[in-house]
Amino acid sequence: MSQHSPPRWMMKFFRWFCREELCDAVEGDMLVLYQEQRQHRSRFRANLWYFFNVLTFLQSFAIKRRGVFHHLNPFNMFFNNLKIGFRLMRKHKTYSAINVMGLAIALSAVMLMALFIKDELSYDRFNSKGKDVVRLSHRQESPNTTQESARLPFAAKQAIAESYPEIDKITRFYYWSEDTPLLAYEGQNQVEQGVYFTEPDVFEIFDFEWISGNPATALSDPRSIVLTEKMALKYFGHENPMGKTMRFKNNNKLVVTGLLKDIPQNSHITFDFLLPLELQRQMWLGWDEEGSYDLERDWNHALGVWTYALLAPGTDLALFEDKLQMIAEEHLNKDGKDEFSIQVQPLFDIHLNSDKLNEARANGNMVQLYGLGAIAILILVIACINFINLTSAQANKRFKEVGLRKVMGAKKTELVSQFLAEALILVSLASTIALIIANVTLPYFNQFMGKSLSIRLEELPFLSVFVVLVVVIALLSSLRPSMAAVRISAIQGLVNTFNLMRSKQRFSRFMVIGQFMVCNLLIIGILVINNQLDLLRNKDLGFDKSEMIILKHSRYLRHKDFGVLQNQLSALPVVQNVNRGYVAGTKSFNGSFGITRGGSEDMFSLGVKWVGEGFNEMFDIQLIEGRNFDESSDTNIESAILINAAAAREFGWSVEESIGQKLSYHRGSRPEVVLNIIGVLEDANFESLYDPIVPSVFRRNKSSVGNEVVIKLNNTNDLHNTLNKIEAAWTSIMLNWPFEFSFLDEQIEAQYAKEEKLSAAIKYFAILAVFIAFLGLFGLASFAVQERTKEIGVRKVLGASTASLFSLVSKRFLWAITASFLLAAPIGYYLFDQWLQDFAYQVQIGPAVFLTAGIMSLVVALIAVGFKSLKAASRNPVNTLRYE
Amino acid sequence: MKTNYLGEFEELVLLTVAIVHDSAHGLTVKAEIEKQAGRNPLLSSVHKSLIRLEDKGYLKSYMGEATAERGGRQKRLYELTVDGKKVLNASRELRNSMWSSAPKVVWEGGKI
Repeated sequence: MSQHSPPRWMMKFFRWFCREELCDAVEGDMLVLYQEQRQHRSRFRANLWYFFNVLTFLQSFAIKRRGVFHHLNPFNMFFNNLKIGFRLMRKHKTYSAINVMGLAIALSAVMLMALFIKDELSYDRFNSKGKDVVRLSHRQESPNTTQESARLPFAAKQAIAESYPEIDKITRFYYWSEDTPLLAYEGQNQVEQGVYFTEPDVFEIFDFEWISGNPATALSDPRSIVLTEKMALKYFGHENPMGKTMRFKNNNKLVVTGLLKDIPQNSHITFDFLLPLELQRQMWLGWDEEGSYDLERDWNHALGVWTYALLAPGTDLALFEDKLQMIAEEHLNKDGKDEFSIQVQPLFDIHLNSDKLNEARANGNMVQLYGLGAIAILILVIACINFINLTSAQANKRFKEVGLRKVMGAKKTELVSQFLAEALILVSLASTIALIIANVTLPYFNQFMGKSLSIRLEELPFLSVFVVLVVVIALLSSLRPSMAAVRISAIQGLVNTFNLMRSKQRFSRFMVIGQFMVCNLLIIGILVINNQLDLLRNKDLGFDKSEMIILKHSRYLRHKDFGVLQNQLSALPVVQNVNRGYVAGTKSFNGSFGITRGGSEDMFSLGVKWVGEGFNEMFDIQLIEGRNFDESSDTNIESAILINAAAAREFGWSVEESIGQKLSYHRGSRPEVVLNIIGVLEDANFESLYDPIVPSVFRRNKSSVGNEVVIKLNNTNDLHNTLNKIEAAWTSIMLNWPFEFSFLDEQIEAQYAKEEKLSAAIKYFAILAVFIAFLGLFGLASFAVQERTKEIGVRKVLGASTASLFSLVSKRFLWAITASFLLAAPIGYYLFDQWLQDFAYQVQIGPAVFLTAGIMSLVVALIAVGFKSLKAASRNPVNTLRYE
Repeated sequence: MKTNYLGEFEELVLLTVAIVHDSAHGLTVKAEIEKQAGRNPLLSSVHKSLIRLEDKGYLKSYMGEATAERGGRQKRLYELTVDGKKVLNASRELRNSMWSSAPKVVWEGGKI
């Protein structure tokens, strides 16, 4: 009969835990019994039986005694480890401070950025049905441009809702930033920025929190208004606002029917007041020439509303979008051209992945988020490298201690746990400090980034993820030096430490190269971003934007009153010119223009500027060909236009041949207008510098109603007084509208504010990263110097100069920095060249950038290394040789 | 002197070692207990008791032969020490004297 034997691993397991003197006896018995089992049971049952029996031996009588000493109290050594750890920290103050502060600063920066990124990613997530909500928007492709707008024409909703069963609910939001919704209650009369028109279904799609009122009926009466808590406090104080009446635009009386909690900051659409869209419809009914205007039948795409739909769960968006083109075909592409298409965009994509015209709010930017995230990770990496380098540098100095401990009978696990305990002390100290720093700096960070983040109790688990991450990294990093220390023999530790240290230093030099490569990249990045923003800031726009005042609400000024205002203001010596129209700023109007060539008409989308008399002197734009508008001789001034040189290029004409050409202007369903080109103006960047110069036409409008008044001043010496006088003139004419104004140059600069803030944030964090790397290098250098104190002393005695000693210590660090720069330069060039591709006007990445970056990182390194090495080199050898 | 306390199972094992005499090791003790007492103790309990009893000085052990059946593992054979015999005797005498102290009527039933 052959021997059956149970699975090997079971026997191995038994032998692993069982006392040696018992092993054979018990195993023999069990094997005999196992044979019996196999004879009348299946192999599986027998194995199971065997395993069960093995388990029954897991009792104290049978389990191996480990080692000679029995640890009755594991905490004993633990507290001893902590004590030694603290003593070491106190002994090596610089080292500990660098290690802890570096880690703490990095961790707090990472926390802040993580909070920011988390907030950016949380947009609109509070809507419980959000994953089925889409925004419907449109895209217009014309021969020279493609425009994507976040809105749809008013009438699209009805058509879409009727034809698609996929749609569960559909609603619209209407808001016009140039509107001046005046709200009044008792004594208060203010223009509110957050007045949105919407429909009752909005509350079925979005989860805005209600305080009082009925979501189902709150907006069903066109004379109702829903407001947020903040606004209720502003207008009604602590009274109950429900049922109160507010006056809207000096005209309509609205009853408060609902009170909402303030709209969360992380909503891509925010508002203070909700009014029924029906009210707007009634206000607009029949405002046009034919008197038949109804927004529900308005297919004009230039205006439009944000349209949101709640789709049936599981709707295929691509398929749905395909189907929607039917509507576009039927209503928008009437003249047979496939210009328009309707787009479907998931709600959760809007904040980070959408940059269309007419967005509800300035959206975030995925690329910038990636940039911040990358920097956060890099900072963390740099801090961790510091940690690894400094811990191993310190461990190198402790071979003697390790050797002695070994002689005294310390076991491997005890040595490792000593190192781990020390790392743990540093990390927990650093995380605590990091939390404090993050808490203290959060308000500034918020102010800076325009956020209202807070470290709340709910965020703690999220933040502790980072702490845990760093704890793990730190422990892993301390494991390496500690294992190295453990592996040496007691004799090696006590007597010969030199060779061991050499190999460690090579490793840490590689880490330093990696670290400074990152730093070089960041410095190059800062320089490129700075140069690019400088370019945008200082670029000659081609027109004069200074000393220009734009009066808000002046659209409401009647033509006759404008004359009065113009006369009054022109009388002031400080006022150079008063004009009405739109030339430069942040809004851009577009129109479709056609040119008839050889029987067929080419369509162009051009910027439209409405101008008044003398606008080109006012904005200092030169006429390069043809003539200007002439009040006296032009019989029909409205059919004459000026174009800019970019438009001439667009049409394929030289400047000279443009004069006398004819354009036809298409506007919605109205009859087209034929326009004569009488002159060509030089190019200028009237709007954002992110885009190239827009081919534009300049039109004179006789009545010029509906445009804003722009005032050019001679000087801004006594601005306060000047403004008072303008205000006096304004209030004498416009009783119901408050006097509000803005400066053109500020308005234009405000466009770049978001970019500038973000790049400034990136800049600060990059500087932080460099600083942390600097700390690490400083620590490393001081270790290197300390290690060679004696050597330096001997060399000095033998006549070495300070300079040669300095180079002795700092040479290899500086080589590492040079290597890192050589690695970083091409990567940096590639990366930031990519980034610049987004701009219409790009700065050149020249050698100056790299030179500056290289010199800067060398200087940083020199300061870090030089301080300690110079000190060591200049010390009296008597002191250094007395070192031991 | 410490009290020579024996657990019930320990006493059983000690007696069994006396019964199987020359070849007392885990397996034979377990088999004998099965035969005599009709219970089926775990191998681990038998070994545990053997070790306890050895620690208490009632048993001593030496390594026996290794057979193919045992996969080449040696047996650990146990035999009673003088103390072991004493403690068994003592426990038996204690019982006997206690048995005799109990009035007959308890065993025979009947009326008082």
